[in-house]
Amino acid sequence: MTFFKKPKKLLEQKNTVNEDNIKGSGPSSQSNIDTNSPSEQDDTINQNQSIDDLLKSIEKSFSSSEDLMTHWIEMPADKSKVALIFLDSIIDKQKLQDLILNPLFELDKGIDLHTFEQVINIDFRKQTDFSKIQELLLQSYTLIFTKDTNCFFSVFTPVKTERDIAEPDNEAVIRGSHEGFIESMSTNIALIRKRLKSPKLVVKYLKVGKETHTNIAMLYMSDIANPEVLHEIEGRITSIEADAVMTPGNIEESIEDKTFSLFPQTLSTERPDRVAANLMEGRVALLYDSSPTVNLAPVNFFVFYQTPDDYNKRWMLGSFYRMIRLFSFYIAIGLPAFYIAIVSFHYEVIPSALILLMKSSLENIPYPPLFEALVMELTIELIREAAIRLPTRIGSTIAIVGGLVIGDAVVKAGLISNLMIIVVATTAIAAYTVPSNEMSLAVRLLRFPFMVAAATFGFLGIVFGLILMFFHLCRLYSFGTPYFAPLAPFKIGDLKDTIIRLPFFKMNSRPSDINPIKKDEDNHTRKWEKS
Amino acid sequence: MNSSHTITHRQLFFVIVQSQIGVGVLSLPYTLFAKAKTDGWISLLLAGLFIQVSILAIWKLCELYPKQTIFDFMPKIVGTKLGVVLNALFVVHLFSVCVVILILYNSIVSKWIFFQTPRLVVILILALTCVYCITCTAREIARFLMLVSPLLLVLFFFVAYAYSDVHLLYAFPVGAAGIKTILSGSTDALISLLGFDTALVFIAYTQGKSNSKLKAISYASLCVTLFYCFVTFTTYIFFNPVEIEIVPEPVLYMLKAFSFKILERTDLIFLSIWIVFVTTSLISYFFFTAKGVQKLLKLNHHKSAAPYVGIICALIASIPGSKLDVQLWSKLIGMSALCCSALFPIFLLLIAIIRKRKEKGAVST
Amino acid sequence: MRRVKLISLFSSLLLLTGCWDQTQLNETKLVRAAGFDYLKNGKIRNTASIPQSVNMDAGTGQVNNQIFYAVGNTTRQSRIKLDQKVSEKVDASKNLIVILGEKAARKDIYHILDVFYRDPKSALNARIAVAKGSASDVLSGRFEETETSIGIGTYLNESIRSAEDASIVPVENIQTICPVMFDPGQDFGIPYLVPEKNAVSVNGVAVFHGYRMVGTIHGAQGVLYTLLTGKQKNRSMSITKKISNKHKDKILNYVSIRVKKNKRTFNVNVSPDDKISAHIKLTMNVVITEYPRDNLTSKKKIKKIEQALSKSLTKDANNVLKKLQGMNSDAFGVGRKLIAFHNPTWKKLDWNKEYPNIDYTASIKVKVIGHGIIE
Repeated sequence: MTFFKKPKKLLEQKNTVNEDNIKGSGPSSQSNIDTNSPSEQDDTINQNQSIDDLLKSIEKSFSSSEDLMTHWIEMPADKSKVALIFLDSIIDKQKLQDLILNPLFELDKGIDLHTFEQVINIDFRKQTDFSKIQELLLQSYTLIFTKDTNCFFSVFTPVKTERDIAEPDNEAVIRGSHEGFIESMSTNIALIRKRLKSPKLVVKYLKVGKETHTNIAMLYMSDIANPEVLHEIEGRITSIEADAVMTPGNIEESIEDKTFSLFPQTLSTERPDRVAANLMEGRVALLYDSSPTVNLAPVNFFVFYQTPDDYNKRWMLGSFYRMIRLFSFYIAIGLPAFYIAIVSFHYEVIPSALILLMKSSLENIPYPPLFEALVMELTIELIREAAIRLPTRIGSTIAIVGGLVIGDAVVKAGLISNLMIIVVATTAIAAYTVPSNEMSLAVRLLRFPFMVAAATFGFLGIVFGLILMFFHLCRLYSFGTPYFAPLAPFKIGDLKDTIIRLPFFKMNSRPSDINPIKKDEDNHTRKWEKS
Repeated sequence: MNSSHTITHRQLFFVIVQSQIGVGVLSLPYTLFAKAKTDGWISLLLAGLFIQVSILAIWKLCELYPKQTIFDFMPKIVGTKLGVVLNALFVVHLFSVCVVILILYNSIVSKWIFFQTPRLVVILILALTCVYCITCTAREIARFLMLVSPLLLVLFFFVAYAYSDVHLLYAFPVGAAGIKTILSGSTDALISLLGFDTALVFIAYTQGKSNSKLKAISYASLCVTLFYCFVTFTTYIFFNPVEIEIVPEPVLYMLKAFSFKILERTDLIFLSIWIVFVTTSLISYFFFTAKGVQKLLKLNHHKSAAPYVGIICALIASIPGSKLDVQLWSKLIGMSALCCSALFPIFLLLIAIIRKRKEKGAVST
Repeated sequence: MRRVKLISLFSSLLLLTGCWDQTQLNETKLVRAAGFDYLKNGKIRNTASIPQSVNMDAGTGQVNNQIFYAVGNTTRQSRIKLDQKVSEKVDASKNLIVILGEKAARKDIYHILDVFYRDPKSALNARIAVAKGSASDVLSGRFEETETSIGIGTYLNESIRSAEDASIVPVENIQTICPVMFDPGQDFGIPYLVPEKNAVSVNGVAVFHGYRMVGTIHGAQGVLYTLLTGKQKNRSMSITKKISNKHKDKILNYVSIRVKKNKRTFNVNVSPDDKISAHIKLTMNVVITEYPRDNLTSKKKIKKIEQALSKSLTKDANNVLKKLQGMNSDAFGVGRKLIAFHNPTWKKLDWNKEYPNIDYTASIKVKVIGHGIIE
């Protein structure tokens, strides 16, 4: 189950060396250790030390942390003493007992640790690289030192701190798989592999963070994903130089094309089915240690508006709801701005039948519309922020207090017009229909500049805002692929799964914006019709 | 030229369409009517034919010097020193075109919606938006211009709605103005069809066969001519010939009276969409100008020239105040633009051909 | 760094801008109906209806119909004076209807309407009508319906709209009459309002020649007028016609029809000796909506009714044309046809003098295509 590359070459070398001194105990064998250049390490964890010294120096390197435990046990075979060292807090002692100690004592007395390594357990390894001691300990390994100071043994005994696989709260679907990623990378990879049982699914491990040693797994389909994109992503990740890379957000920000853009350039999701589907389109998935979030790249704007639900609906319904979602984008960024522009610049466009109604609702409002809108929009953001931090039960109270009480009272008090409440509420709902949280946040923030523009220049302000926004989308790239594809550049064939969703058997080619190697998708699912 | 900056010939089509449709569309029927009366739309069609000649010349030039903009091949045609001078003059011409676009945009906007907003502010918001838009490669510009092209259909439908109340008889009798006046009207029409000259820089970025490039530009100019013709004809049968003389922006005026159940004053909506077309044509011209400035000052990237181009144009454009000033400026610059954009490429081509002949002759003897 | 500079430049621009052209909806007074009269001293009286909502709860508040008057030398001056009388800024961009007093209409109406055509914010889609007597009487009258509806503007607008639907008056607004007003070869007609005790009735069509009103066409003739314009192709217009005198019971002499389809062919001919003749031919498909005598079973009966209707309607139509010729109003555009197709003749003519004397006829052919759900 381990996902660390075995230092094969070293191991083989050492095996031949150790052949003759299997029983060669004693601290005196200092002659054949110069390969490991002891002077490299300053904190003196070297193999030319007696076992006691070694243990001490390890303890020292951990600043005498009290969860570093050392156990001496006596081997049944030759009665020699071996030392077990581990970080008490992150290992599973039961596992240690079951995997090592019990078999070791139950088996034939003649057995020693070397043969044990070769025959018994895959999690039991002989290690010779003493510089890795710290790292192994930190990765939930238990280390066993014998008197032979040339090598030591490691057992992978992680404590199981994973939660169960559950549906992600913010990406729930009505029909379809209800599995979601959890904080364990190996489980997450397993979830994806379960869906893509293909030898072409490649997993590549990368590591960033000098202190945190965060593991990143890069998943892609070797026969679909574009090697240039792969190279680009890998290059960007390996170039990260930082002490601590704590969250996926850190990595996202380090590798995305433009940090000064509101639009997310990687898609984060917690749904294995979404990841699997995107992998099949030729995208790359980035999985992180102890994070349920998986990032997909390269993406385009419309990927954020797709949800697995679309594919479980009948295709016309799927298309309809996708169009609703895209329409909600315009409502979310434009509606308050449009309203402000109308009531403070161009009320001529209001139809005659409505004008008196609107006027009477606005008549006694003391504030200008921009101020009105800003106050209400910020109030909604406040409610949202408060509701996230609070447990669910109190959260609903906040929603009631915020939504009903404030909304109603503010109108009654004559501070805000009831039309503005309608506008703000519609906008809020529209912003939350975006399936991706990042995009939803971006959209919610975008409407503020639009509101200001509308309040200063009316329709003209909105138009210039939209021009700037769309131009920005046109010149934005996600790992070298155009972000606003397939609209800019326009590819009519790729519209089939962006603005609408055509039936499954029509999707015979992959989106071309990410330049997959294999373009055909081979969805000939209705062959029975022709016979 | 970097291969990642290229555009397809389909994108070239939209670039030319978007550069051609601009400020002119609103007042074109009025300017044409001033000379050719109700036969203005015929002048327009003739003008469309004339610019085909210029387009052919431009295309041929770009074919002779592939992957080069006009600023690159100008010195090669007329010699290095004269080339620099002509390049500089051409940049001045481009500046003046940008300025006139800004002036006309401001005059319409300040007449229809922004009565009190200072000129400079109205002009600056457009100029700065365009500056942002040209700080990238030709490819992204082409993508954007293609993206907003569907808005043309919206304009088309708005104008087509006028057919609910037209008097077809106003267009008759056809040809009453006489061939001479119709011909003289087509010079005015030519000015509003300018924009195809941006091909001088955009062809250099276009990949593909030479023929398909010519097709793209020709079809673009054909589409624009037909669209303008449709707009002009519609206004001519909507307004009485006597009335159109006092309505400088007939298209907007026509829409002002229309109302739908959910929206009234469609002219405001139309105006907002029209702004997009002004922006796109200004983007192409700004890009053209910035490329010229880059060549002249030997800059690394046209990006660094962009803000200066924008701000200088905006400042100059905010000088003329009264309506008469605006008319004078736009007339002068219109005529000079006509010479530089439509006639100059033809002369340039002639010189280039003669040169090539001579060179060939020199080689063979 | 450049990007940061650019962004900060943009944002500072936004902050710097005041709100130059803002006109807040709640800081304006919307004129919903405007009336214009000439006073005896030659000044213009502007009557404006500005509805004010009384209670603003739930949108369906009551409306207080406020009427303001102002007198000035021109339309604009009177508007400015009006503005001085009203607390907030007066705005006419949502005007629904313009009413001209008959006296004003008989003078040059373009002088009054110039403001509407010139102002970029004005409502060109407002309806326009002529009132019998003075416009201020119509606007300031307290009618039964205005008590419950939202203001006199909406009331008048709706009643003209329903008249348009019934084809009693042609569909026109300030903009649509403008090109025709300028046209030397065509004239127009707009609704004619008559204030009565409790209501305003849309009584007929006020017919114009050039910029001046020259007369009216009342009642049923108004329907024929709109039919003859040939514009309202698919409206439902109802006519009740007397088709015989045989029956003692008077009601049995009448038939009511609704026009389903109305097709106009309009021919203008110039004979070699420059004699102008114009002929309008209408083909109407109608549905019988009332005919108490019944017995519409036989083809012959229907034919008979068709003939009787055709004859009677043709007579009426010719009367309308005569009347128009008498008023020298070329409402259907004979002159326009001449300009378009007989331009040389047109150039020789003095149309104002020629028009009353041309040979101008109409014929109407009625075809019954239905008769309700009983025979």
